[in-house]
Amino acid sequence: MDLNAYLVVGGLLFSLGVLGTLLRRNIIVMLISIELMLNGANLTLAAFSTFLEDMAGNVMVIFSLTVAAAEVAVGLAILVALSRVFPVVNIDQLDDLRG
Amino acid sequence: MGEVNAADLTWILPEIIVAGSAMLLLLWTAILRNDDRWWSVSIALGANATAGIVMALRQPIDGGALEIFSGQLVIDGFSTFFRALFLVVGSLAVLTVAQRFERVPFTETAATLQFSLSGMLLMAGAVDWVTAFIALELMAVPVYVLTAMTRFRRDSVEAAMKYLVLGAFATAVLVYGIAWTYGLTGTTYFPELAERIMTVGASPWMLFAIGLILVGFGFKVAAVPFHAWTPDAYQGAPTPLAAFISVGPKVAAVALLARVVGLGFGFQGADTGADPAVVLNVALAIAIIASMTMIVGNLVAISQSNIKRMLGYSSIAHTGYMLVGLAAVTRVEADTGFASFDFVGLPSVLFYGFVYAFMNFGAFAVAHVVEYQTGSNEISAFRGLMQRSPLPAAAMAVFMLGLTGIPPLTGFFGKLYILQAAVESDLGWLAIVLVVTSVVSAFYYLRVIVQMFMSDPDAEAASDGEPSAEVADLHTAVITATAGATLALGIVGGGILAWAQSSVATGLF
Amino acid sequence: MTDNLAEVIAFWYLAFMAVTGGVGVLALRNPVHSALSLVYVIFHVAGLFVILGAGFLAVVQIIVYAGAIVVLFLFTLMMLDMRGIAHERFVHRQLWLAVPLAVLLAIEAVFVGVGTPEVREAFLGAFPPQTISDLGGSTQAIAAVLFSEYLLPFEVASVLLLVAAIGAIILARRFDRELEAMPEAAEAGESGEAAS
Repeated sequence: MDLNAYLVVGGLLFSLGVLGTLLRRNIIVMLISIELMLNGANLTLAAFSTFLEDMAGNVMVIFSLTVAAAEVAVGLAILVALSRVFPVVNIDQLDDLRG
Repeated sequence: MGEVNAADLTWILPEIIVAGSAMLLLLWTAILRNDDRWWSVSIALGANATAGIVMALRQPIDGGALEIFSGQLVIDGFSTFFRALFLVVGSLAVLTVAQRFERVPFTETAATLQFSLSGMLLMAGAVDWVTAFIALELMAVPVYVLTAMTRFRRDSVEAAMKYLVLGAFATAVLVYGIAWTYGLTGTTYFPELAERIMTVGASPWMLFAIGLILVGFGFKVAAVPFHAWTPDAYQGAPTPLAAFISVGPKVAAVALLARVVGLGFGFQGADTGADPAVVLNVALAIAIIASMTMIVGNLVAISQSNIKRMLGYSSIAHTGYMLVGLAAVTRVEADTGFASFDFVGLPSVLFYGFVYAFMNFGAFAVAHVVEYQTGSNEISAFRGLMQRSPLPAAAMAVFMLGLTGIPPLTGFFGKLYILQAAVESDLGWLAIVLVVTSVVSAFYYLRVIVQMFMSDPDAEAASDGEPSAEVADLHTAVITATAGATLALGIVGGGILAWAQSSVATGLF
Repeated sequence: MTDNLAEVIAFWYLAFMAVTGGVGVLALRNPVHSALSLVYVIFHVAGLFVILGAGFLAVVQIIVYAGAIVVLFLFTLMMLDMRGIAHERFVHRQLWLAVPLAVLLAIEAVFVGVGTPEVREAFLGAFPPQTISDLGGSTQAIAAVLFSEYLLPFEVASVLLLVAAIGAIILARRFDRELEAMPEAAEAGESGEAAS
C-alpha cells in the first residue's frame, strides 16, 4: 500500500478523536477520545517512519505511548479524587468555576 | 549529532540533582514517616542551589553552544538563562508553600514541584522533538497533580480535571503536528528541520503541520483562542501553587516555543527557501494569535471580581505580549543576493519572561497572604490592606504598576523592548494593539491598588470580626524578594537585557 | 513496498475496522462500550503496524494500550457511579466549534488522499528495509537508536512514569484520615520554623 492510504486512516482516526473530545460530555469518554487522537497520530508517525526508512518515527511512537499512559494514570486519579468530593460524570456538571 | 558518552551526564547534573532531590524527599517521608517542613524545604532549596552552582561552574569552555546526547540537548547561553530563571522560580515556589499551606502533606507537594522543575530545566535545552516532547510532559504532568493537591476541595480537583483534559488534548494535537513535520522533513532535529522546511517551502501540508504545532503550543502557553483552561486552573489551584503554575510552565513553554520557531522553523538564519518563505507566514500567524490574546485577555480581565481569575486573564494578556516578541522577525537581503532572517524579538522575549516571572509570582503571593487573612479571593478583600499590613500592600502596588508597565518599573522596559522589536520588523499594527491594550490593563490593575488604599468601614461592622493582620515570615521574604527584584530590575534592567542578548547571541540559533 | 494482493486486502480490512471502531468510540452511549471500541481500534491499528513492518510497535501497542491503559479506564468505570450517563447531552454549547472543526479535518484527510505529500529522496534515513533485516528485525533496529541516539529521552521517560505513578497515588488516596491527622497544618510550619 502507498503512504497516502495510511495517512488517510491516521487522519480519520485523529478527526474522530477530536470530534469525540468536543462532542461527548462524559469525562471518561473524552479521555478515551484523546487516546483515539493519539492512535491516529501514532499511525501517521509509524507510516512516515517506514516510508522515510528512518527509525525516529518509531521511537517517537514509543514515547507517545509512554506519555499517554502517564496522562491517563494521573487523569483517572483526578477523576477518582473528584468522585470523592462530588459525584460527577459529565463535564457540564463541573460548574464551580465560572467567571 | 555525535556519540553519547558518560561525560554527557555531567552536563545534565542540574536536572539530575533536582529530580534526585524529589526522590529523596519522597523516600524521606516514606522511611521516617514524618512531614517536617523545615527539613523538606532545606533539601529542596539545597538541591536547587547546588544545581545552580553546578550549572554556573560547568559551562562550555569557549562560551558557545555544546550539543550533548547526540544532538538531543544543547548547553548554551539560552538554556543557561532559562535554567537559572527556573531554579529561582522553583525555589520561590517551595518557600511559598512551606508556611501556612493547606492541610496537605508538604513533602509530597515539594517533591512534585521539584519533578516539574526538572522537566522545565530540560525544556530549556531541548533541540530535538523527542526530548522536547518528553520534557514538556515531565513539566506538565506534575502540574496537573499540583492543581489537584488540595483534593478535599471541589474547585481544586475540578480545575485539575479541566486542565488535564485540555492539556492532554493539546498533547495529542502536538504529537500529530510533530508526526507531520517529521514526515515532510524526515528529521526531528531542529537545526536540520529549519533547512529542510525551507527546501520543501510553504506547501499546504507543511503549513498544516506547522499549524498543528502552533495550536498545541497555543494551549500550553494559554494563547487565545486556546486559553479556556487558564482562569479555571488558576482559580481552582491552591494559591501558592497557582503562583508557580502561572509562571513556571508558561515561561518554560514560551522558551521552548522560542527554540522551536527560532531554530526549528528558521526564524534565525539563512533564507534558503522558495518565496514566499514559510517563516513570514508563521510569523504572521503568531502575530495574529498575539493580537487576539492581548485583546481578549485584557478585556475579559476587567470584569473579573476574583483576584486569581483576574490574574489568570492578565497572565493570558502577558502571553500575548511575549508572542509579539516571537512574531518579530525581519528578512535581511545582503548585497551578495543572499537573504537571511533575523529574529529581532528574541532578546526582548527572554527579558520579558524574566521580569514577568517575578511580578506575577509576587502578585499571587500577596493574593495568598490576603486569602489567609480574610479567607476570600475577591478583589474587595484587598480593602484596607494598606492599614492592615503595609508591606504586602506596598509590594502589591509595585507588582500591579509593574504589570501595567508604568515607567520606572521593569514591566515598562519589558514592553518597550518588545515594542522596539515589533516596530523594527514592520509590525506597527501589533505595536499599536500592545500599547492600547496596556492602557486598558491599567484599569483593572489600578483598581486593586485603589481597593488597598481605601479604608474599610464595612469590615468593622461585619459580624465575623476584623481580618487578621498576620503575614507569615516566609511569605514576607518571598514578597520582599520579588518586589525587590521588580524594583531593582527597573534600574539594572540593562544588565539583564545585555545578558538576554548575549544568551541569544551565544545560543544555538 | 511490494503491493501484493494479500497485503492490500489486509490493509483495507484493518483500515475499515479501525475507522469503524473510531466511530464506535464516538457514537456509543455507554462509556464501557466506548472503551471496548477503543480496544477494537487498538488491535486493528496494531495490525496496520505489522503491515508497515513495525512489529515491535504492534506488540507494544497491544501490551501498553489494551493491557494497561484500557484496563485502567475500565477499572475506573467500575469504581465510579455511572448513573449519570443517561443524562449525557449530545447537543450542547461546543457544537458550533466541533462540527466545523471536524468537517475541516475530514476534508484534510480526504485531501491528503487525493494530493500527494511526497517523501523526498534526499530526506531518506539510514534504515532501509535491507538494513533492518540485516540487523535482525524492527526490534533490533529500534533498540539500536533508542539506546544510543535517544538515550536521554528514554531516561527522562522513566522519570515521567515515576512521576505519574506517584501523582496517581497522591491523588487517589483517601483524605479523611489524613485531614484528621493534621488539623493544624499551619502550625506545623511554625514549629518547623521554631526548630531552626
